[in-house]
Amino acid sequence: MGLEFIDGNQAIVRGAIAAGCCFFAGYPITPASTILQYMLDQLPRSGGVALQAEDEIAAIGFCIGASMAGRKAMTATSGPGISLYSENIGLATIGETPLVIVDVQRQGPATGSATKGAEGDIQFSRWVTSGGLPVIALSPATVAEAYELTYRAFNFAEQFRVPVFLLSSKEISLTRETVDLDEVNLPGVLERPRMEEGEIYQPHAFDRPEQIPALSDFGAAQVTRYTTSTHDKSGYLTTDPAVIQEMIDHYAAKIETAVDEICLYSEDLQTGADQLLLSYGVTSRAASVAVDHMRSAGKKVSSLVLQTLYPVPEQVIRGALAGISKVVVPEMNMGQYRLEIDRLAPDGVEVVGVNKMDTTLISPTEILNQGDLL
Amino acid sequence: MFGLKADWSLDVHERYFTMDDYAGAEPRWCTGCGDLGILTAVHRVCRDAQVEPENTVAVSGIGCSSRLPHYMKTYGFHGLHGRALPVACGIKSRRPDLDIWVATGDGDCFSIGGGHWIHSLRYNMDLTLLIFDNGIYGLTKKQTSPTTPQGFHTNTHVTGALLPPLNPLTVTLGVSNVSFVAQTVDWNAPLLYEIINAAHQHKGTSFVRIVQRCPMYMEQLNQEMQDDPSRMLLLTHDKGVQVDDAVVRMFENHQEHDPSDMAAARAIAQDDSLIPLGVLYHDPDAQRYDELTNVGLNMPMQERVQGLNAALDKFAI
Ligand SMILES: Cc1ncc(C[n+]2csc(CCOP(=O)(O)OP(=O)(O)O)c2C)c(N)n1
Ligand code: SF4
Ligand SMILES: [Mg+2]
Repeated sequence: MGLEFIDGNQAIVRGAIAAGCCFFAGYPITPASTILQYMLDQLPRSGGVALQAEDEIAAIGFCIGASMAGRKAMTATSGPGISLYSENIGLATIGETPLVIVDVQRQGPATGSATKGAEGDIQFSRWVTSGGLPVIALSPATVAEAYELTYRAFNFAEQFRVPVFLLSSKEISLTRETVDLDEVNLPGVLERPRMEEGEIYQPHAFDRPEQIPALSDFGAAQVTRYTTSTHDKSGYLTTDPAVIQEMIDHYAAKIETAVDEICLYSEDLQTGADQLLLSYGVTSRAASVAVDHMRSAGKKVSSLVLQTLYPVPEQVIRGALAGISKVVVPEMNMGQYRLEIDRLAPDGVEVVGVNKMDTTLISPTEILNQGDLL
Repeated sequence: MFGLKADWSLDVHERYFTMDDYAGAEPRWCTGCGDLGILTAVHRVCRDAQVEPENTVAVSGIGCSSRLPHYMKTYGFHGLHGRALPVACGIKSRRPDLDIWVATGDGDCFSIGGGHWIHSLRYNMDLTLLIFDNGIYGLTKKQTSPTTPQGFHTNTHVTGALLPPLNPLTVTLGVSNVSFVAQTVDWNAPLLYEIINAAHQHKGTSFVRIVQRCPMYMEQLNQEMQDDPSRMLLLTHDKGVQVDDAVVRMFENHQEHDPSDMAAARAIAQDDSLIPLGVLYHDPDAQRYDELTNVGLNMPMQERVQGLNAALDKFAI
């Protein structure tokens, strides 16, 4: 393929298709609309289909249906649409449906600034639906990462039978960069576990809570049911508290026991550094400029950039915090991920946020000044 | 006094509102956008009805069309995409004295707001509901809407919209308890004014679909429609809206249509070879959810306190 000049939304579509996505449904919304438009153009070329739905509730509903029919499905929207996805995300969680949800974040709340950036949906992705069960959320910082993480989001969705978030943002999705997608290192394509011939089928079967039940696609040989209500391993409605708790523990254990596998990050730790810059998303690019600047000024500083935001890479964060007296967390929101760092930082470590939501990017200078890093 | 008779005095309103009194911020629609004419018609209807700006509310969702509240010097509510109608119903429910306008687009009302559209029609609260139907998503830059003509090229259907468009008139006329259904085009100012005026006078939800020009994304299509009045059918009747002969003569096709005749209205709406203009249906007596549920609105304070005490008496403290 070689070098190309593409934007983040194109990269997301390419990553999805590389991972085997063959169904997409969405409703237009800036800055996610072009994902719908590229999908409508691209998917039919490889036998897939993309649909424009009448609204976001319908869009994610289509995807859940297609996924249960055995197809890898994705939807994409921005904050207002995620609000409308909420109930169906709960459905995909209780029904253990593989699904990729792209949130091209824009400034909010509500309609906010439709064409302006922010990364304000971080904790929203974590607590997006009732019940508060763990989710997987990945955050790209570049066009190449948008490609890679979309691809990996599909793998995680299939592997763990869960909805997975890709938290892009207006800046990443609508900015073009020169990339060579062939150079991006990708693992093999994963498929959901499927039922073997002749087994007695239970749609939510597991022996150990973290086990991933096999799926029987709707329309395949083994008939199966799907329900939004509390159910047992067979998918039958239940009111038995012990069974209900067992299922809840299973939904949580699937993700919690696989944290190490899911956690993606890049760290650049400097021996002797007592300051750490912890960042993610588009702001991590300003953070890396700030780090270079500090080092060229003779300061020692470590950097940790997270691609996986949820589940929180706690071990990695704790490791990076070793020997640190101050951690600076720049975010295009009012300090959402800092809440996670606050609870992980040992006593005596100062946690400093650099925050704004005025639609403009956080600059390296703002990080250096407000973080008091020089 | 010296022979001054009381009934000689002129009936001078204390306040007289001009169109400027209803005009808010400078509109930021594209040059030639049909929304501009609709806004002017709304200002005129308000001026002619002399409704106080402080007793007027403009409610909208999201879209180009939904910017209208910013361009009115009245109370304005610029809400969520697709959700204008429930908010308007909520306001009407507790403040029946307020004059409520709802401005919404074809995507806002017929797509994402489809559920609210159907139910609001049936509730039939006293609202003037204007649908700015340009057959496209304007604000988000040319995606297919439910009323995009089949085959029309959009950014989401580059080889042409796949399905036949939704017919808003047949859907609306299919809802039980619907009370006022009219259609007009934005580029015929006298007709536009008369229809919006009739809708405003009607007590109940007046549904007005306005075929609206979007020169930005639908230029050719709109131009063809505008240039060819033979594609329109003007509905005339004593019970409908009255326009000058000069306006009537602009249209080759006319039909006498009694707006109280639902079967005839449905037949006209069903036939999509011509675009009917005028009042398709009007039932001034349809039940109104706002009236049926207005209990307690005028309850004196003393009675409220008594009721509250009686309710609290049921709880042992
Ligand atoms: C929940 C949600 N989904 C999507 C959008 C993006 N959006 C804004 S306006 C609009 C459609 C506008 O079309 P229409 O209602 O026909 O109004 P027009 O701009 O054509 O007047 C869309 C999809 C949004 N603001 N909120
Ligand atoms: S895009 Fe179309 S509907 Fe929107 S303001 Fe411009 S001409 Fe009007
Ligand atoms: Mg429109």
